[in-house]
Amino acid sequence: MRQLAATINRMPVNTWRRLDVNEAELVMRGPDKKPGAGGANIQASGQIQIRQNFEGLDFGEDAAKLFVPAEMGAFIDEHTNRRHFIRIPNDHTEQEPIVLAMRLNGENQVLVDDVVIEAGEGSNAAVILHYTSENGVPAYHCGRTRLIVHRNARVKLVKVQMLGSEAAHADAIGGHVQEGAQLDVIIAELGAARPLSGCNLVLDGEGAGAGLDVVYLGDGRRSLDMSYRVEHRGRATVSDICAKGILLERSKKVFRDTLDFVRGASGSKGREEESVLMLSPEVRNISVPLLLCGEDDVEGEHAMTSGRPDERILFYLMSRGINELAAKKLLAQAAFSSIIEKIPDAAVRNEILGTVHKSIERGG
Amino acid sequence: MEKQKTRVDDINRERFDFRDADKSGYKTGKGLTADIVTEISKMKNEPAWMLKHRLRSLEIYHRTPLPAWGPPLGKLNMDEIVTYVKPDTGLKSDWNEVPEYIKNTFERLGIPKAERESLAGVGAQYDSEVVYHNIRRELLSQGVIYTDMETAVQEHEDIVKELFMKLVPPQDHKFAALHGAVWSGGSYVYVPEGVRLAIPLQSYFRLNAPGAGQFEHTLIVVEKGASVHFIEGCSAPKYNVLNLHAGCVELYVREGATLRYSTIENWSKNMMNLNTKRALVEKNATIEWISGTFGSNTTMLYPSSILKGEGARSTFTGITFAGNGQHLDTGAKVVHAAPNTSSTVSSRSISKDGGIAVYRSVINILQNASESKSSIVCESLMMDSVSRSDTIPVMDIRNDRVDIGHEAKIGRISDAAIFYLMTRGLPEEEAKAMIVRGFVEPIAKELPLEYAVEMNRLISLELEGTIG
Amino acid sequence: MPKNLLSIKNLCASVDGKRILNGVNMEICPGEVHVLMGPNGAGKSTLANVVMGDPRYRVDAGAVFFEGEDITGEKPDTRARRGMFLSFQAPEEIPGITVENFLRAAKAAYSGEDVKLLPFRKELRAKMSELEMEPSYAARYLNVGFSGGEKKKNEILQMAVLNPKLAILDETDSGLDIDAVKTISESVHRYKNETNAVLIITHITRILQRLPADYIHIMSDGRIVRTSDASLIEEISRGGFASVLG
Repeated sequence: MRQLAATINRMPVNTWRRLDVNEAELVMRGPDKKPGAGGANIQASGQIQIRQNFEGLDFGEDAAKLFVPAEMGAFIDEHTNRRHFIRIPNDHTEQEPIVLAMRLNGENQVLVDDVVIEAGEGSNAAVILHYTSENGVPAYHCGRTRLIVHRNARVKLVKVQMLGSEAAHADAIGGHVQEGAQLDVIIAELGAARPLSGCNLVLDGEGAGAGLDVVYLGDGRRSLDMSYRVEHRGRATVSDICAKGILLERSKKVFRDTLDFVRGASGSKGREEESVLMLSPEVRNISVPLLLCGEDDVEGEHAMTSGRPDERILFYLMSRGINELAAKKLLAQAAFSSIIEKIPDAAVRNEILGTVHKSIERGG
Repeated sequence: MEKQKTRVDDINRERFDFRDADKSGYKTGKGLTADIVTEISKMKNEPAWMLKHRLRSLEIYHRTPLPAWGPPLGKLNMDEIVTYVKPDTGLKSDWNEVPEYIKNTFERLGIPKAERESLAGVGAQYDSEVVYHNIRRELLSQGVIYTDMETAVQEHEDIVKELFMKLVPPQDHKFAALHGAVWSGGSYVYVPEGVRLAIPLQSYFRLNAPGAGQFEHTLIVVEKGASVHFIEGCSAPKYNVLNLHAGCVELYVREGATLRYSTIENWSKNMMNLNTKRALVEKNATIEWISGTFGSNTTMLYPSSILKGEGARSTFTGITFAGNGQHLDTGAKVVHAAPNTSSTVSSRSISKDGGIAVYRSVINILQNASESKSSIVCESLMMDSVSRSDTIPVMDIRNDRVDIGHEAKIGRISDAAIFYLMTRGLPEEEAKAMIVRGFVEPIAKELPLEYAVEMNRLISLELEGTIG
Repeated sequence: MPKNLLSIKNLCASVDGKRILNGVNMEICPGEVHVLMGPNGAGKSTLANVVMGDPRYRVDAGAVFFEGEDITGEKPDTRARRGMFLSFQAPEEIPGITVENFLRAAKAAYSGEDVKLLPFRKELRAKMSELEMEPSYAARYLNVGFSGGEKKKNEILQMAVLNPKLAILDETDSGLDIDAVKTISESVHRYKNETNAVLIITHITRILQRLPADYIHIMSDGRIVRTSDASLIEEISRGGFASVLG
């Protein structure tokens, strides 16, 4: 068994050290044994190539450098016990989402997964990675998902983390988006004790687009550490980062989101937005929204709001007979719904809402 | 079709860029040693506790590393900086007694004229020492004190000892420690309970000696229900060697008091401006920061407000204009440490010709700060693609009963806005100039009239259409 | 003798330390239509909101009774479940909750029973068509992107679905065109019967065309300064409030 200790979720630029937001420390356990890579439970049509190795894959490493530091990358290379290379052929549209369900239990306590998704030119697909663990099992998850979205392709990646409240979880996503292509990433961080989540998307080609939607839930003493970034390299690229969070009980979160306009990305537009619903006096809510800009012909925007549910809205809902708890649930659902609606799987959507309702009932 | 780029000229600094021959009466050698620090203290005939404070600060300075964030400071070599330059005059309260060449300098900067017309009191510092201080007689009779820091150490020792570098302790960061060791000059202001000054006080800091440092200390106490507007101006001629400014401002705003602190900083482009300003704001009191950063090679400046009393308020209005060769890292810090406190931050920046403008801030809402409000709006204008503009805010919220909003925007002059103005008959250049002026307007309107005029002159806009 | 539906006794209330209501008294019995009029700033909307339990206002003195029970300290949802309803002057926009989901949740809370999806959807469609609302509105987020008129219709739709014992309509008719006022007025008329009551806060009298008023109250400076029968309306439309305030 190997232990990984690494500094991750580093900010692209530092600020006051005493604020303790410049980076996060990761400690992760390696798997005891290496079971054969799974893959039996992947739902996909025959058109999709799924392999358990990365042979012949030409993948520039720079996409994930920022949020997958060398130590973590080496750890994953060495200890992966699930490896999937999913290739969507050129011009193929996969109708149903490709779903990978990963469940950790007493026999499989440690998961180190490494997924590569390559979307051929003009292809279109959605991939859902869904992580759960049996209650009471000390589960460890460390994962990496890399995407190459070729010209004019459209990919939606949904990553839902619903591990048990004791689980360890560290996850990194890196993506390259080429000319005219669109990559939408939806991240739901709903479980684990101290989830560390990073995503770094690079808009390489002219007209490339990225959407990054995040929902996160803090309950109990969960401490979330998230770092997301979109880099605009190509001309006329468009990005939209939207995060909705709910913090309950004694939870804590650090949320860093960065729009980085590199010189030459003329005509590009980016928007980041975070809204946080704080439902307990003991939560701690840290936001670090960065706008980095080396090009004049761009539009970058950020907005952040935070606080308790609006009293007028609560009054409006309650004046229709809905009690306070139910009204809060409705508002939590409302906060998440614009993002959850984009998940192309009703079961996953319901599971997320169910988790939110349960945790508000406990801690709201 | 290539888009046309707007040209906005550099701020016109000619008015400030004249130098006097170095006629200093005394200066220390270059570099920084306990001997030099002891020497400065002796020259000033300071009490023992102040010398002790200086030596302790020097120790802290030596063991504190440079900040691991922000603009590069490697080019600053303390061994090359002369920390203390005493002009060949003592403190006067009549301009006619000030040596002719120094008086001329301040005449050219318009200080005596402003004093006659619109100020309640004036302090003028030349290199390391204050050479002129005067206050209108009626304020003296109301108990208002406005003098240089050295005099305050001698004549108001109790209060200075109690408050000096308590808000900004030498441990705060490397340049606070440096300041603690070699501070010289600056202003002390005391406004007694209930006294409300209708017109502002102004201190002007001029650094003339090449390769020197200026380390003035400003300590202001505004007692219960009192109010005052304090203006700080700074400039220096340009030299080929680096100069250093590491001032420190400590403001105590007591219950129900109001303090407006305005700064127009226009250092020359060889200045490293590493300044620290902090205000402690008590119950129902208000601090208003107005901050214009135009000059310097490098600036790190984040006025901070500690809202300690219930209902305390802070507003920050800032503009930063970074031109060629400048790296201006500015912003604000607010700590909400009591219920019902409120803060607003409104920041604008312009970057051009390779200039780097960084907005950096932290808003801290502590657990007991229920029903507090904070609103941050920050806008950056990029004039070309060789410049940079970064926005680095942190919000740390530990109470749920608060209302926090943050908005930031980055971009260039909007084509649609130019078009709209042009459809109303304005030529393109005029339309662009109007938009840039409009961009800085929220700051300009907060300044006293003569300073607003000054800023308009600073941003002298010479616009020409060039094929990009 | 029928028990009073709503009974307001010497109600005083303030917001942010500023007194708005200065001792309001009012009695509303089942079957009645009351109209509350008065100049801007008289406290009409405040009265409606305080009666419904808006937490932003503080009740300084007095009490509100509903069907004989003191509800002064009750939360708004408890009041709603007793059968009280307020049509808001400026209804909140709530992104993320559809009109249909919201109304079903409210109906379940109101009635204390499960509301089956299909029959409810049918009922909702019928009520919407009575209000000349496009069926697609059911799937839209609550009031988000609705015009002023659409928001008001949506309030009346909620009233029709929830079927309260007492409906307070706070300027539901203001800012609407003649057709929309007529549609809303007809809907209120359909709802109105011998066991329920309506309190209409209004500036104009068009909404009363299908709804004869039993009592007109004139409010000024946080007090009811005059109560009369419907004839008072004509007096006001001739001479303005000045004529009835004396």
